[in-house]
Amino acid sequence: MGCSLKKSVAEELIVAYAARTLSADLEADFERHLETCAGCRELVAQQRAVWSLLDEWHPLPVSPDFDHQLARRVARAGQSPWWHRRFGRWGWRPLIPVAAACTVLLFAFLLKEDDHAVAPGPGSQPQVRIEQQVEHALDDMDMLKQIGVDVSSAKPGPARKI
Amino acid sequence: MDSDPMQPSAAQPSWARRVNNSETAQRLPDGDAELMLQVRDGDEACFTQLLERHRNAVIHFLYRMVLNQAVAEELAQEVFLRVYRFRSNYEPTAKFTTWLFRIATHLGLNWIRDGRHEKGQESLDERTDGASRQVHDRSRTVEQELVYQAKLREVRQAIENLPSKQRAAVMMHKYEELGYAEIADVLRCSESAVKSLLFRAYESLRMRLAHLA
Amino acid sequence: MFPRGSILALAALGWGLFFGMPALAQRGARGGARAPRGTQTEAGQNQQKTPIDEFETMSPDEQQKALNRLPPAQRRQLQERLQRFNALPPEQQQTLKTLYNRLHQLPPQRQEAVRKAINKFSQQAPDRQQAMREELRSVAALPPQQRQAQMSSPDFRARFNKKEQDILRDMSPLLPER
Repeated sequence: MGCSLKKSVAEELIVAYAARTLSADLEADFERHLETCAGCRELVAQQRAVWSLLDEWHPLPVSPDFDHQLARRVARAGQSPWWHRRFGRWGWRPLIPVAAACTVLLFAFLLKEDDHAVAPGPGSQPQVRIEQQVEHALDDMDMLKQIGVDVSSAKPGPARKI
Repeated sequence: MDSDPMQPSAAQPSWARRVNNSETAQRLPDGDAELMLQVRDGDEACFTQLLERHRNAVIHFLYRMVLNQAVAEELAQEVFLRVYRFRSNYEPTAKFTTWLFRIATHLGLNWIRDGRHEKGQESLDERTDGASRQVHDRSRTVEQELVYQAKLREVRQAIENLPSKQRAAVMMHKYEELGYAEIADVLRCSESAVKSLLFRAYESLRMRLAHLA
Repeated sequence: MFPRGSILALAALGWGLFFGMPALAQRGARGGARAPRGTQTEAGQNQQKTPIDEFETMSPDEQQKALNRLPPAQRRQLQERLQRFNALPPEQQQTLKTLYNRLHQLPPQRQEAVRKAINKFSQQAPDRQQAMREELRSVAALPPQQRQAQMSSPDFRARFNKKEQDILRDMSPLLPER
């Protein structure tokens, strides 16, 4: 071949070049090498051909009931949820008052007002202050602008930057 | 880098600093590993999320390994079943995808090894069935479609003729875009061994397929 | 077996009532509470207040008091950012608020995944960003059950590399529920 590069190095570069994973600098260096090396040029052309052929090999669609079948297999394998392994031997009746307790706590948590203006009581954790909340909200808004397309509604329309 | 995270920096937008500096991002670089730890702790919704993220990739990888869609889905079910079964022992010592593809590769290679005596019959069936199930592009004429299907058969045959480990390495490198180090992790060999596998595989594929492009 | 389970269950109920009832009583004392974020409908997200809305509804004195808690440079920057946001057309402000609320409806882990995905999105080449925007727009118009199929289709995988596919999938929770 008469290539100035070691075979293993050339092979690695050829594969990466065809896959477009070389850094910009390396790509430029390798392209300069290709200008003078007919052997590597030929191999690059072949590798690109293989790469695009492999691109055309699409997999088949997944069965729509795959997840359902997996769930059945998990159940058949006798794997019960962790809570059943830990508490199942006690039966379900004791769960009723536990569920009631959790419901009370859940209501209390959900209905508890977020009062940003209220000074924290002694010994309690300070709430996130409004100015910090605003800062974080603006951070999120700046980040969301990056998406640059109005996906807030499902109406079709041209993709425009926000 | 600013020592005070509250002070603005011109070098990086503030929302990106929050992402990069957040406790979650710093604690665990791999979002999948974090989900898997939640599964370990009993959060089954996180298992569903992992399944949604990786189901198709695993199935498609296995399909290209075993060249049979039904077998690929069967093996993929086994992969996720094992992930679920071993959840209580999970430790994020490697990337989650490394672990996932290690299981998938192991099952795929075993199937290839064990199914070799039946390979001729099944592959022929799949070639007939699988090729016809490929999505037909309506923009192609009938003649173009025939040429495309013939090309596809040659690609599948070339892949089928690769030794199984070379096949696995190519599939991970080409379709999952894993790097040499990660493929080495999956196959439990050195990076130089992976490069050797890949370059021999690509050399074979070039010889068989370059004339088709 | 039953008595032991019952004792523990009753203890749990007592614990729940002990901690839950005072919080419920406080709710009454404060005169009501906002609806929790988690129960908002899609339409409700448009009306839900963001911290920016809450700040805007505070009196000027309260706003100034809040801003004075910040160091001067940070205060100035926050005021400028608020001015820039308020200078946006109302439609764009609403779009951003809707996306913000949708983001904050998600569990913390998924929020983190979305933020990281947007971070990676912003690092892609402009032409790839545009292609991904177009894809998000077309997926947003699909019913949710078809979105997953679209984002796993051969066509999708052919048009986007693996990194881009992951970015798009991780950003998809921001799409409307329809």
